[in-house]
Amino acid sequence: MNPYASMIITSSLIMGPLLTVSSNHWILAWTGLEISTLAIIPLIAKQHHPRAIEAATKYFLTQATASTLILFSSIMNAWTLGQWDITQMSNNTSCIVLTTALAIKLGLAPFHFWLPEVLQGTTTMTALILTTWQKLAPLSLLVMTSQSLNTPLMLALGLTSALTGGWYGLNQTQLRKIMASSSIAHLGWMTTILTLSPKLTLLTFYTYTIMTSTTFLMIKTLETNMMSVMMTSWTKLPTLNTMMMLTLMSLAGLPPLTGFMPKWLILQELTKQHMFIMATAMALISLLSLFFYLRISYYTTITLPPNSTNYLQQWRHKTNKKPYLAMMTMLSVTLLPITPTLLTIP
Amino acid sequence: HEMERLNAGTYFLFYTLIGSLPLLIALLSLQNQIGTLSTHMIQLNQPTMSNTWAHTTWWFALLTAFMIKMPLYGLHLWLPKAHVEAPIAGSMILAAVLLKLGGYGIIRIMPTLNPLSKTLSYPFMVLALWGVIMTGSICLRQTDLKSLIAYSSVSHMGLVIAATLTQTQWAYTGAITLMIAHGLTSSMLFCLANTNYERTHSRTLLLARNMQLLYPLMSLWWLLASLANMAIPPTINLMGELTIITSLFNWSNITILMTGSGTIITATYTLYMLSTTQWGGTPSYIKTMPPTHTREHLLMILHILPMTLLVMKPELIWGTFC
Repeated sequence: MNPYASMIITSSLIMGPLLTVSSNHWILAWTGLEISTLAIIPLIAKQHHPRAIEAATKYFLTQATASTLILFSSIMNAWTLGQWDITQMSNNTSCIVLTTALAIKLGLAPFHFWLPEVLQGTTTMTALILTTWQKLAPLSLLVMTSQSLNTPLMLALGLTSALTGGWYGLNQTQLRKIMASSSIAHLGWMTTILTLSPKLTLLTFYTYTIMTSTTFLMIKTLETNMMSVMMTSWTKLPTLNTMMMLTLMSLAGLPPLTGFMPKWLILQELTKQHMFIMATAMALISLLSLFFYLRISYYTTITLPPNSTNYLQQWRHKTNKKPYLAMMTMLSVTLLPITPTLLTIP
Repeated sequence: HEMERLNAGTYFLFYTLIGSLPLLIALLSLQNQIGTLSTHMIQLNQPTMSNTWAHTTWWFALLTAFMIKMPLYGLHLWLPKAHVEAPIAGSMILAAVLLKLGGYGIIRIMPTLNPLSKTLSYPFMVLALWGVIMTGSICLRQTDLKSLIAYSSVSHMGLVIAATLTQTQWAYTGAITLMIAHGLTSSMLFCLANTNYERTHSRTLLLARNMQLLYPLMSLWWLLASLANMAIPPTINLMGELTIITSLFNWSNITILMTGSGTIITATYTLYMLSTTQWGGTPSYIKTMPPTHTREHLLMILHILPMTLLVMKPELIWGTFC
């Protein structure tokens, strides 16, 4: 890409969510959201493939609609209350509209339909940015307004997202669509606990970011994007293949890996609030996502020679190892014992 | 073979998790109510278990995970798959340790669950006792040697479940004696089945017959393991089973029908397994079978020696109940 364009796009992409996160005024928050949307559109459409263009269009339309709704809810709040403070969102209607808008932005069910197709249409690294960095701004808005938001609505969004994420991924063979359904399910867990303990939402987001980044980087390194090439990916970097299984099991939330920590803490918080049915439902629904993570880890790691592989070998390119991948894998797999330390993160 | 192995893994993982996730939530709510999960404190400060829907669900949530682990008869589908597909080390650990974790869990959690256990343990008792007979009968029709031993595990653990649910001192003593005895016996039987598998690369029961002619010393271990499995005196298996049968008779006289016939069926299928593998005419298709290794005999001795020594001093495994 042209270095000037690349510089503008990268700096806007970094600045957009940072602007939203650090703002107190609704207009500034909305500006940050718009900057981040506009900055990533060229990245999605960079490939000039029809599917990439379609993904860019879908992303733009959904995010623009959501931004308009955010602006509308903040204006309604300012009209009735006379102030633009993000944390003082007392008007109930604007809270509902804001929740809907942020659900569209994040890709929560039932507004999740754009996420798998957008992720499938882009490159792996852009998909990584879409699922991790782009979620920072809307999630920070949710956390900032969490004391005014409607708890039953959050629980309903969380439950349907976990269900949708689990069921959507069951029929997928493309890894980026599977990561999209993983994103939907994890965001479901984050919104469930939002009104009860925003700190846990942020903790879930941090661990989710680390685990998803690790998975995407592994996918990029092994150059596996679909199930048909996963069975022969162990030939490229055998150790990375093993680590991929551990990272996938961490995403699924199996103890003693890191991914169990947010689920355990969320279940504990839900039980303290006597929401037993919600806790049991969320826990059992995450078994749906466990099934497709397990299936991927079967294909990558557990079926090895001398068992015959059912798929053709890939063209071997020069394997570009990423040096920070080892540290991120370690983080995404071994952080469970230091949970008390991680609970001190605000 | 690959497909069944992956299937067995999926069955194992999902059966376990469907039981253990509600257990996690039940334990979290137990901690919320009592303030601690320390077993000492829970004994002193028992939670109220009244006859409401909520507490009934709580009771089931606390116990189902261990029932799946044991396994209880209706929830046992993962066990034959897992045992058959697992390598020998996996089978040994599964039979000797993992199943007993379920039994240990039931013993640990039962004091917390009164007084609901008086009525709610009936379905589990029925399933456990019926499972003793049913899985024993299934053993008589098995063609796969490892599957036979796996179903015999379910049968013995059914006795343990029934005992632990009655919560008497004799029952607990019998339960942990039988758990330890069965752990050693079952693990030894799996090792013996593996010696057959290493030579014939097949688990079919009828394939390796008249092994006594080829491997006389190994047939001694087969004999001792089978005798232990059918609870011959003076083994600790008999001590465990007899204690359990007596305590169940005390709980309800009718159980003797099921436990007694269970004992007979156990003896039948164990003798069936022993006679098929050790005796009968030498099959004509067996040309060369490699001799036994010293490590195999060492493995068997390391199993049978604790069983024999425990016959002399069973107080070591009787627990602190009586």
